[in-house]
Amino acid sequence: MVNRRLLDAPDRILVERSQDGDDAAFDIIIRRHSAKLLGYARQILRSTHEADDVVQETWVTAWRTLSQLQNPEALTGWLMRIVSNRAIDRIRAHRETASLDLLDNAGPDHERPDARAMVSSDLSQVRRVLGELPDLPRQCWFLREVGGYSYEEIAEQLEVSHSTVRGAISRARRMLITRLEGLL
Amino acid sequence: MNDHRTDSEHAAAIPGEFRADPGLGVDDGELIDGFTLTELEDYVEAGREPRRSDIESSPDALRMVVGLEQVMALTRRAVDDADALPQPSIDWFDRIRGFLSREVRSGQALPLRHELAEDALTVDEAAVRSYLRAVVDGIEGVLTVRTHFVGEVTRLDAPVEVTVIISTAYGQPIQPRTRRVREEVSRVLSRHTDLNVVSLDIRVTDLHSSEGDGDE
Repeated sequence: MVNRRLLDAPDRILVERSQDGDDAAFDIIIRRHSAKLLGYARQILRSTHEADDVVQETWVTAWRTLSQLQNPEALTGWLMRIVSNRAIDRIRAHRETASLDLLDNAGPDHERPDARAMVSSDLSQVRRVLGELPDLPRQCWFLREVGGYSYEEIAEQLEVSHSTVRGAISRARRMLITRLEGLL
Repeated sequence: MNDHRTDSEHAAAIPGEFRADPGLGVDDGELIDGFTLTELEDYVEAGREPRRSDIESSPDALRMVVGLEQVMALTRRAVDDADALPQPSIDWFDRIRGFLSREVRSGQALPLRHELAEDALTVDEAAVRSYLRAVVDGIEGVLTVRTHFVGEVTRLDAPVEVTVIISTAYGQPIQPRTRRVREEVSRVLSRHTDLNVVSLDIRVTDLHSSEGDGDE
């Protein structure tokens, strides 16, 4: 039976207990953070199925390596980092199997929805707009803004040049500022 | 750090002017009150430090700077706003539990004193710690944070120092709780292990909300 007090306990206590081997505490961490991790993974990968896999792998990795998390307060950032790493693996694998032109594929950026139509929008609309970014700008943007990666790290991980990352992030930012104008 | 002007291939060819990778078409050369968008992006990336009074005093440039900051903030909010995201199904959580159940973490074998058998009798350290947590959690207003056994726990009679770190509920007296924890920990260890406990330290490191207390 799950201890009620444990359900309400702050992350830092749950992390320490999990590091001590308490799987019930870790279970609460999983329940508390999975939606956010899935949301992030789906945004970056644009695939529900792959996002599910990535987040499941993340929890296994997190359980195995939890002792390395020195500051329990940093849990969310640490988890986001694991998801990012896993997502990067997927992105690279895709690139190897399908010779997609990542620099300029799929993005519906020729469509320019009227910014004024977004005035009454909310975060779900932000998510939709984020999801409409072309692959490379979207991936770089999320790794930078949510994963906390530096330009150098993104370039290294995605095996592209620093200036490509810079350009991709700039492109994402400009598309977002245009399409979200009504919300700003 | 992210200054494109340090990008040697471009810097050499076109000093002081940004050129992105061909194909990305990121720079349209449009000026915002005399500033390039790239220049404003760099300023935002640097956290608007050091302060650029020329940018800060230009309403148009400032509007773009704030807009850039807002798209960054909106992205993080879109991810952080987990309440708005659908919770995964019970099956999904069960699958993860299935994966994790294969990741067994067992502790060291704590030897038990006994007279009859030739085979060594032991109790698993992880099981003892788990039981300790459950007992301490059962005390009103107390939540276990950590348990530490320091010493050669696998050798009978070796001195072992035990530390139990707890969190107590806000607004409740701490002393009676640490006393109860000490009693319960001593009882569990003496009843279920043969550890030679030479010191037992109960530390309070944290206070937690008392929500959930008393109605388990």
